[in-house]
Amino acid sequence: MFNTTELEKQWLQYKIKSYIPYLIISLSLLIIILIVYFFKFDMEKSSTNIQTSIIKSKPNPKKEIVQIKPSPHILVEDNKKVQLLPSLDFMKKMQNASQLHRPTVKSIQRPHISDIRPKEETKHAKRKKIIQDNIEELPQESKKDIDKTINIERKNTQKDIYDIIKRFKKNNNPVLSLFIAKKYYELGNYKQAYNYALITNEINKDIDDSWIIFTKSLVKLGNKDKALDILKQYIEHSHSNSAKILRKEIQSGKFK
Amino acid sequence: MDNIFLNSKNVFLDVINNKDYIQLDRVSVIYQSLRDSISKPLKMILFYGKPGTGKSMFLSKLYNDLRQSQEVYLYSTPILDESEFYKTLAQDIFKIKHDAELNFTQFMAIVKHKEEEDSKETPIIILDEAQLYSQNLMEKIRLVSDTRKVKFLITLHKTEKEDIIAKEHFQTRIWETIELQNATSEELKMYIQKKLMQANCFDSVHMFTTKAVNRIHSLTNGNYRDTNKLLYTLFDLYTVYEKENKVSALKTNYISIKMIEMSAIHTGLINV
Repeated sequence: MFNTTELEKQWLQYKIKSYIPYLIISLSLLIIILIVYFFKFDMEKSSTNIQTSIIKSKPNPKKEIVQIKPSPHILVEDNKKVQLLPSLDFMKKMQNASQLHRPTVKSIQRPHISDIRPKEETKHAKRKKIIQDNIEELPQESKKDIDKTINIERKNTQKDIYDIIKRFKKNNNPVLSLFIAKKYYELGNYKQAYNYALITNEINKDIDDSWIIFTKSLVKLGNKDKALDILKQYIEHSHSNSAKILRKEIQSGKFK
Repeated sequence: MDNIFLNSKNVFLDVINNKDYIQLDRVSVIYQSLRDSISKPLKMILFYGKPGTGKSMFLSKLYNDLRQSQEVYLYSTPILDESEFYKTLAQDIFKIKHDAELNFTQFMAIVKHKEEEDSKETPIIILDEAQLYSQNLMEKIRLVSDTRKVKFLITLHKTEKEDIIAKEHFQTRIWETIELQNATSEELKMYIQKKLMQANCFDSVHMFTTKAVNRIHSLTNGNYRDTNKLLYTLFDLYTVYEKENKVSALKTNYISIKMIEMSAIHTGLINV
């Protein structure tokens, strides 16, 4: 006779036992998968740490440039948008430049450009070396002057005028004779100015400036009436406006 | 429903009856080859197979078929005493009743004497469970078969030990070997269905699905004896469940795997 209750219990035990191998296999597979997953995750994490550390240790070329030559216009935060606005600073610069009337040479350091173009760097280096050698030969004060600015001064000396007179005697160019007349007039040598203006008029009768310098020199020499007569004749001949203006000024007494 | 389970249970009672013999394709082929071997002038035929493969049923069927046409004797139970074995042989083959002890020399003298007298058709002795015979007796059986006055059909369990016996005693003799094997899953299904149909248990036939038969086959390895035992227990269990009004919890349109496994636990096929 069967004890069905006991038999069912035994059957349940058998079923549980029969599922144990599958359960063990499934669990071990699950554990293996989890171990592999975590191991892989750790590996990835460690690799990213290594990468970041490498990046940190690497010198940032952009950052270095910024350190050498800080520029608020170049430095831009990552998250902020760059908005370009028109600047009128260049106008001020131009005005300053025109007020100074003297060209200035500034030493400009461009490390980033020199990094990109090594050939130019060698050229610049050679030039720089030559300049530095020359500077070393000069006294200390002059060195400082060169480092700051180079002043170019124009000197209207009598020697210069003689040089031009020599050249004029060689080629008989009215432009040179007019230039000499103007220089003599500026220097206050109205007699020589009159002479060279007369010579220019004899070479070319149609040069306004020559006739004006000629008449101005006459006025300065005290021949105001003669100057007005000459201007009158010249105006009739050439209808020059500058001559007309000068005649009015002489007549009115503005030009003495 | 109670009758269905009860009738089905009785179908699988482990009783050797040639009427219960199930004609399966493979078994039919083996049966025919064995009959052909018997008709040949062989001294000995070795018929073997694992326990429970249906050898005894097979021999029963063969004996019943052969005895109608020729002289055949079936020794289902081994006669382990040598004198008794010779006396039984003398009585069955030569119709000589010997009350006193009969040794091998005396039996061989009878055989030689009868050899001269008549030349009738060689009788067949079917020895079932021959692995139980002693090595000495088996050697003497071989010598008797050499006289060609008697033909032996020896049935053995196929084990290592029996293989050695077969090699030692029958290697040099003209003999034929036929092996009976366990059933395949399909053969087992056929076997169960045919067995139930022979007993008019048609309702039970349809309860055996392929899944159920496969489970039975996995538990019994296609062994007919184990299958009979399992199915007997199975229907017995169903009967008990019905009596305890537990059968409503089970689906009776097909055999439950749980019930098969419970039966296997009960019969010892599953060791919990």
